[in-house]
Amino acid sequence: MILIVGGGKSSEIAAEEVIRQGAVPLRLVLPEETFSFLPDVETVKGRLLSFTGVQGNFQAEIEIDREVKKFNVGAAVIAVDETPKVSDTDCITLSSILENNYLKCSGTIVILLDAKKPSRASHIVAVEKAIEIKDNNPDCRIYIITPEVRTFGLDELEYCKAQKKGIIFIRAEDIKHSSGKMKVTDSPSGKVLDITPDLVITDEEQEVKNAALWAKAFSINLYEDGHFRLGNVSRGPVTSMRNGVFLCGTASRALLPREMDTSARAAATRAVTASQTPLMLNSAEVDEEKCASCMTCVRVCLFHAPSINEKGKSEICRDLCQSCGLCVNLCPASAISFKGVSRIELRNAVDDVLRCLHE
Amino acid sequence: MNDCSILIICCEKMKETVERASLENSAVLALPCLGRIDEAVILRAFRKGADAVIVAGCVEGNCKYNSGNYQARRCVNEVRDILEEIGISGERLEILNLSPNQAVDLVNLFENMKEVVLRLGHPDILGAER
Amino acid sequence: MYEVGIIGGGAAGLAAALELSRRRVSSVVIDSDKHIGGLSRDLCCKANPVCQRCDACSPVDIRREVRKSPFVTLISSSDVIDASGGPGAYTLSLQSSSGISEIEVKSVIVAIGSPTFDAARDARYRYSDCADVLTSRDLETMMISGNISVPSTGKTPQSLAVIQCVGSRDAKHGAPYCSKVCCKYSLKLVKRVRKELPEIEVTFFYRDWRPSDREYDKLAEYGKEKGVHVVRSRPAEVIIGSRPLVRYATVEDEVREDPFDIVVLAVGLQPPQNSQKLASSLGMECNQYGFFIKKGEGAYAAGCCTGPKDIRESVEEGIAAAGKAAAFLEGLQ
Repeated sequence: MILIVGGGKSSEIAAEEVIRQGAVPLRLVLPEETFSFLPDVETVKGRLLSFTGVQGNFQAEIEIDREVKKFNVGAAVIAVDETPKVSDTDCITLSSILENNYLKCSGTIVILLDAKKPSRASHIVAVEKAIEIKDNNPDCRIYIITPEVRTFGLDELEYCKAQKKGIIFIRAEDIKHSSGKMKVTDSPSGKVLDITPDLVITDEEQEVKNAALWAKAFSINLYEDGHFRLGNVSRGPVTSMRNGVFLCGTASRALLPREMDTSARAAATRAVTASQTPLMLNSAEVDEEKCASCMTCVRVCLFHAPSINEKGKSEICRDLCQSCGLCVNLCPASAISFKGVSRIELRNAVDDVLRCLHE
Repeated sequence: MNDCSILIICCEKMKETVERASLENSAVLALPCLGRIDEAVILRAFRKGADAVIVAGCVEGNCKYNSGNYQARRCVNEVRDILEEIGISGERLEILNLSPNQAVDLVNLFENMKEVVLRLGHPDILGAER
Repeated sequence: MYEVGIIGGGAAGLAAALELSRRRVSSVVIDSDKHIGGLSRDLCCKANPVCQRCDACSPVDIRREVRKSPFVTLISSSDVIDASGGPGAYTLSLQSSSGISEIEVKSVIVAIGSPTFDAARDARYRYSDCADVLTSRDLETMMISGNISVPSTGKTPQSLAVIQCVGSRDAKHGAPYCSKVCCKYSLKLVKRVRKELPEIEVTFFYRDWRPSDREYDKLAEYGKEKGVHVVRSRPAEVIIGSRPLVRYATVEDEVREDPFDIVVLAVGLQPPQNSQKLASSLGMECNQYGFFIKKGEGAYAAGCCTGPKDIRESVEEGIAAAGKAAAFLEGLQ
């Protein structure tokens, strides 16, 4: 079984791909989260209490309706998406025109794209919507005001099409908007334009909800801005820093719809592969006699493997240990050791390679 | 002096890159991750007759275990102090953040190191085995 | 007989082969070049000194794993000249120096990548007549050998200009789309050059800043650093002189000509050549530019041949295609 977390688009694609590849998805969403129903996918509403074990053999404890259930999971995909921040102004937002039908609007329409943390797709959505409105009502004037036009890849063609159709793009950073009037400074030329819009549509700030909650449950880390921390490049794409836990969706990286599709499918593929190939890593071990409970190992480990047990001594969780050897090295009491690369073995290895060189 | 011997300590990931550079008079010691390196390993190498040691780790922020290369840098700085203290030039020990697609960095450093060794001669260590 | 035939040994193709080998599915990777690795093979590391996530090393990592795998066969210096059959039984005809041979596979992953724009085609920038006008790939090659110098004099460059959107967003040269990767790529390259040569003056000519991640104000921030000039302009031409002169209009509509030691053209990605023929013989489709469209079962496309994309996305697409192919093969049994 593959655990898929999140209720957005990414989780749908990932679940679909997991089914296609012959594995069973289990979709987990938070009780307060809205999600779309998928007929073939078991979706549970609950909270993840703990996620232990290793790649291929995880145990997930999920609280569903105040009852704790245990699931055996092969791998996990965190497919959480960003959601639009609910704004306090009564502006019409891009996502709301997707839902409601504003195609019939007329007069002067301004699409203002100046959010600090927009979704990566906001510009192409705006351009496509503008074309649609213009096609419906060729008499209306549409302005798209933005500091930078970001239509990536083949989306550029839509931008060109929009320009040909007479949609006016204004690059502006200085925008003043009050009581139905708009003063815009075109940043390349410095010219000031006055616009009296009948309708203003804005793009919205995006936020990641509950990332900290998931990160804690999965023992993975977050960036400062609240997004999931991606695995380092050497671990490959769609990975997190924990083996068997994969990341996709806009909560880890800014993505266009097409990129989102690719990364969700890649994460699902990696997860199915991972669930078939259990991982057994060599774990560091603590000599409790020597351990001074100094907490050094607890502090340095990125994978949250060492903890202090009830005896007051350090204990390293076999499942989380990635056998990097950092704690072995930093332990002031030399209490932690490692099969295969103990002090003696390392010394012998140095002796051997240098003997070979000198001979 | 043409029998200089340089030990390159790297992680498993870099092993192939280092070996492919096929540097003469060098020996390669691959550890699972450079996080495991400690002062004793480097000092042991000098004692066992290495003229110089190069520690080749991943680029900062690209260690598979996240902090192995930072740990290696800390360790190298410490050993350099120890070496200076016992009268061996710190120039004999160098750390490099190597990218697997840029072996040239290693080759350049190796050539520099060779010059250093040729200039300084064998380190004067009592009881060093060579 | 192999289960999956992978055409193209670049980042996407190798990632697909690696993922298939993890599932114990045999595959054969066919590359037309002598060395496998594709376009991403000769990219330099952009760390300065902290990893910038340029992903240039990830194809190297994948290649290392693939070489070790017993499930992957690598065939280099061979072109796929023809393909026939349908889902479950494809025949690929290969041409190499030793002659023509045939390979039978059950599924095909097309990962032929895409070439970069040939800068000589845009005559305004004088790539073919001026030695000091380089493409970004030429600069990469220089960086990877660890020696940045002005080609005509051999001296260390004092100033460098980067011109964005060469062969992208340019309908005249058959590439009206944006290449998506050049913005982030060029900025990382410039940062790396400035790490190697801290004294160098860099001018960055761009049209729209389209970074790959949430780095919307990175360029403006970088422009405030000493020795960096960020200019929103598309230079009209390069004039050959003792040093190449870049002629451009500023936002104030003033025409300027500035000399630089090196002019770097950030070349865009082009559609793969002859993709229509390969697509039709495998029952696939291409769009009007020649990029593959994802459709159907049995044969899949991944990497830059489906549209311009960065290494990371190519690798992801390769992995996803491998998953689809593996699922398709399971369905056959």
